[in-house]
Amino acid sequence: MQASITKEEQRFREEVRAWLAANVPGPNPDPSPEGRRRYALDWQRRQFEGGWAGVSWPREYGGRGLADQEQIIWYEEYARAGAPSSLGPSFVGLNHAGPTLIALGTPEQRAFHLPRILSGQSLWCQGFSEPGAGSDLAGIRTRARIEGDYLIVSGQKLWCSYADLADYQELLVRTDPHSERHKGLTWVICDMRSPGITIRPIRNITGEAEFAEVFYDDVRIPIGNVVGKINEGWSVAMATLGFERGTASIALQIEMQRALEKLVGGNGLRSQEDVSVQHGVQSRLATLWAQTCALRALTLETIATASAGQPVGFDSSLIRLCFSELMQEIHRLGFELSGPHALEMCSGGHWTRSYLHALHETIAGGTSEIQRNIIAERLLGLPKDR
Amino acid sequence: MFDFRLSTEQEQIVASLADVLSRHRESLASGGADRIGVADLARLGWIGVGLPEEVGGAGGTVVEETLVARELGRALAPPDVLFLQMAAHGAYAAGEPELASSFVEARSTAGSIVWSGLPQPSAARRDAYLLQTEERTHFWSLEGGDLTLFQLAPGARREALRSMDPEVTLARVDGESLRACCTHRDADGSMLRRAHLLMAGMLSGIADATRDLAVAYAKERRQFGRLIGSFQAIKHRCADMHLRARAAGAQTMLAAMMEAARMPGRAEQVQAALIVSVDAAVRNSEACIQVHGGIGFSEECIAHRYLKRAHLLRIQSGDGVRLRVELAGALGRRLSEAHGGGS
Repeated sequence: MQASITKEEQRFREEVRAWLAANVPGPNPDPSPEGRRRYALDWQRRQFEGGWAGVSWPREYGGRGLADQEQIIWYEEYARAGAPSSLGPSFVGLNHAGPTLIALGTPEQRAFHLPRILSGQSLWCQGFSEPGAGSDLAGIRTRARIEGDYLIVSGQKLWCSYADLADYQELLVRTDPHSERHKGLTWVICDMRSPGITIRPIRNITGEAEFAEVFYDDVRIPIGNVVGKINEGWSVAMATLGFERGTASIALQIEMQRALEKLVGGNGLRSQEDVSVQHGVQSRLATLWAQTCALRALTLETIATASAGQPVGFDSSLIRLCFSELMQEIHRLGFELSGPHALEMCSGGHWTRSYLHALHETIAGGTSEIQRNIIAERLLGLPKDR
Repeated sequence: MFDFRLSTEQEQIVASLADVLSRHRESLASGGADRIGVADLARLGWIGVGLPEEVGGAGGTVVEETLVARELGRALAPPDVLFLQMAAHGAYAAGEPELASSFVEARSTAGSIVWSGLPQPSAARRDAYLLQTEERTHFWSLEGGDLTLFQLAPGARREALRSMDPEVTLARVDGESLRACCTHRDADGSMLRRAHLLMAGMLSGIADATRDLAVAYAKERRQFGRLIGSFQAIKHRCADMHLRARAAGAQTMLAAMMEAARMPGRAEQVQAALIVSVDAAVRNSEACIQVHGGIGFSEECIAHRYLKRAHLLRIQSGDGVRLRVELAGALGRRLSEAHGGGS
């Protein structure tokens, strides 16, 4: 139980900081789908050329294979440099589809897709949720029948982020028509340019369309795109959890703390004349700041105490739950401190938009209710209610 | 980097303490007599864990002290262990090694002072609350950058009050009857940070213990033909307790590590640890009562004792709006320096 800064860590941090300072791009000038795609791929390629693509991927698969402490330093400096959000269009390829292929892909699938993800040639999206399968993912009904060397897919997916930008999709379908729940599912790579795919953007409460419905009308997918075994897709979907060290969340936490620090900096307080109101706000800010520190400490502790090579497991639910609710508290406070300026809906850098957007945090990636169930049942051993 | 794993020595400290203290806690719960007092803890060497060997301590750092504080909080050990440790540190820092070692060995003992109201030009005009479990020889106070050890003037009038915390006696005295016997000027703030870390340690122990009590009850109690822990309302409350306890514990140890390593930014991290530990201990204790239902509201359930101890530590620490406003101010200044200065 001790803190230290080694010379190697210092040197590594300086190297990262210098590279980021020289390479982090300015904001994306072109908000069109093609512009956003280009921006994400260019940044990924630049990281690749600099040797920074796939910091947590094993070296044998083209990644940098950084140790935990170095990953932490990378993500800290990344966020501090204001680099493009790690939740951008590259997210699924780097953090989900890629690791799944590493865990369970065939040599051909890995050889084709992994270099393209790392070098900024392809983007991925996720086709898991459906209208009838949100928290209850096992309720999937998009079906795929097998005809010769092809899967023929029909159905619908929902909440597919960046569907309009992606080249490939990790798609979970029901291949056994008589199966129920998590049995009889198959995980397959879907080429998003295949005929029969229709993408319909969904406008969210900020007025933006960051995710979409995707419709499949007899879409033909080669059987060679199946990852893992047919009808065993559930275990493939769960396999990705075995990879995550929890280091990527550090970048998001620092971004969140920077948003809070903008409030502490006093912009919001100048509009409060009354000293007692000011004190109330300052007390609230200090409490939230303390909570962001505690979240970071919990994350570092979780990473440090997970055994080498082992996933952090269900502790990630603690981190996710804490982060999502803190995001809402912080952005709600910023929104409130904006006073009448909050009436205006602006696109970026504005508390109204960020507050509304933060409402998705407790819903996406596993709702808070599900996270609490996981914490209670898997970490505390409380009995299931079903 | 922050290495959160316990060293072998630290593991041994925690394990042997936990063993000794579990009997104390069981005895509290059952009304038994196997309680541990400061004399026992002194004999086992737990008072001096963070004090130098020259005064009979074990030569450990504030990290070991905080680990010990956590176990003490978890077991609802008498709070004047913490008072004794602060008294020993205060005496040592004030250049009184003899007095320090007499605290380490519990030959001298310490209660604490909580002043009623803000400092006045003359300390004598303020009343003081005295907190102790049994009669103590000294009382410590840390305020305005001074750690002072006081003794009560002989024959001083004490007004005995009914204490919220059943294990801590409460008396009110006229500030004039308190005689300072040694003072240490806490110029670098390290004494205050140590006090806050010890309190945060105890508070995070309380947060752990009340979570464990609630979870244990939820796994036993049946209603409507099922264990109440299977209901989401109960389950989710327990999940929140776990998150609070884990976050408070991690932040407290991180801050202790930073303090021991004298890392920049440690003062803010210690304040953050205090804030989240107070919240975790109080809210978990309240939630523990809630999960226990009617029994939780009766004296029979131990949860209320954790709650009262949490509030005592909160009041002792000075956490409140003023401390948080000061932290926000310090953060604001640091951030504007960072943005104003430089290229």
